[in-house]
Amino acid sequence: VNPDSRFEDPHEEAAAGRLRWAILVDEIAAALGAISIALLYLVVVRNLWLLSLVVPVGGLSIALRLARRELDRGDTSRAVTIHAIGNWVVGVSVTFVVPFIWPILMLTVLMPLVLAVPHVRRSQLVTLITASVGVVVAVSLLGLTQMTTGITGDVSPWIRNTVVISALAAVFIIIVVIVWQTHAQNEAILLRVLATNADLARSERELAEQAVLLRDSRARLASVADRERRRIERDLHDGAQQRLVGLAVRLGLLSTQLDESHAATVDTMKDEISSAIEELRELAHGIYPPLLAKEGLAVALQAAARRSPLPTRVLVDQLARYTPDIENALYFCCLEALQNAAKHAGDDASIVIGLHGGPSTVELRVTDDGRGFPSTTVESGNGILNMLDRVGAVGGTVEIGPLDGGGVEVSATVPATARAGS
Amino acid sequence: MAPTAPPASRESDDATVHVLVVDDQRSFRAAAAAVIELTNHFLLAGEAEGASEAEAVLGTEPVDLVLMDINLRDESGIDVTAALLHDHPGLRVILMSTYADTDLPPGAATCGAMRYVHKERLSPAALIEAWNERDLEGAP
Repeated sequence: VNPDSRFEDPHEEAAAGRLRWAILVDEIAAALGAISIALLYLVVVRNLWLLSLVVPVGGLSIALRLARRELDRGDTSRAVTIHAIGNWVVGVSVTFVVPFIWPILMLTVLMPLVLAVPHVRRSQLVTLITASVGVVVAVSLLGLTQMTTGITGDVSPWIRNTVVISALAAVFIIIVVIVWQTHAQNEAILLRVLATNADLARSERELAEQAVLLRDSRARLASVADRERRRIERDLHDGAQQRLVGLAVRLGLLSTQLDESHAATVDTMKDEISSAIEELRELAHGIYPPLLAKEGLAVALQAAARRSPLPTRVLVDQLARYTPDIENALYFCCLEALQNAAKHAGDDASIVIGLHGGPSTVELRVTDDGRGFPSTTVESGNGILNMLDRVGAVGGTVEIGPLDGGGVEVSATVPATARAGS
Repeated sequence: MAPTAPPASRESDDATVHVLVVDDQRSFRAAAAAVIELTNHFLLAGEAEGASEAEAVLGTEPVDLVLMDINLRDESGIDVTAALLHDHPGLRVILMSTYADTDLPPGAATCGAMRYVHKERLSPAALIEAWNERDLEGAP
């Protein structure tokens, strides 16, 4: 990328480069044209009308030099305008002097429009088209009606032929420029499309790689968090809980050896410790259910069902043991579903937990026959997000929806194969 | 709540219940030993951290009752219970843990133990009650 460039878009700069090249060819052709006319006058045709054409044709060459300068300054629109007006002036003036070659000059008059197409906005294009039509009409009328001055039909055939051949040579250059420009333009578009496609393909590949990394990282985070939860549960169980239990037992013993009034005090202390043990047990259970790692999903969910405030049945079908990640994900998803049901289903509702182990998946279905919950909950609830996060982290999907006969079903499917030895 | 057994006698006789405590936590073994110490007609036969130590005590000491922790360090107290009862059919086992009843593994009911007692509820009265009702009940 050229740092001094006036163009912000490199593609726009490339297009301006192609236009500059076309204008340069036109400029050189005009200069050569002016010289050829002068030579023609000196050597072959002593006709002052012919010599007068040196002015518009030479002028075109100078005008095109100015057009290129505008292009270098980044003003494509003005360059296109100068190029067009210069060619039109040449078209009209040559037609005036040599009326019989007006059909050949049509190309000179229309070339600026053709070359301008890729470089101008639609509004300027409309102006160019309108002006081109006007010039075409002027050139054709002039060519058909101007018979009085200039090199008219009554000159000798060899002069006519020399002029026609010279004009055709100029036209040939114009055609080459147009064809070349069109080809360059198409090639640029094609390269641009190919580059965009390659970029898109690369982005897509990178996105896919990112998705894999993210999924792995999500699974790892969940797995690390679960291991940590399990460790905390064990620490609580083996540490504080055991000490408190030992203390409670000893206080119980102490109480039996004291007189009644002291015993009552010690019993109160023992009750306090029992409450603390109970609270610690609930806390530890909330952090990680002790049965899940040891006994697996079915047993842990049967225990969860016993703790549920609503009557809850567990139906197990061909369930094996799976990796801790999968068992944890489905367990905590089920726990959220049970809590949702307890919150929204109503006191009369009952719940069925279904577990089915397929050859490559495990399915969990938590169904209640209660009142259901408002659909807004499906999008916004934290519990539901937890379910989606939990199951999503192991590559599974969750569907939550109302049932026809009332109630709600949470259905989670996780890709999983049974753990060896289960 | 006071123990209802006959007056204290630390000597072993036919009525004495010899108790083995199996638990990987030393603090609880000590507390359980203290309870047994203070329970009439109950005598501590030994302490064990796991299955192999329990087998060692059973091989050398007369044992009538085992207080078995469900969550041993590397073993399941339930599996160890089943194994001990297989080798020593007359033995009685009380399963113990700090877990709520709802969180007991399914094997707790079928391993042959006579009942389940929360660790914090262990007391002379609870021991005597469990022993007196040993033939009345089946599984916990």
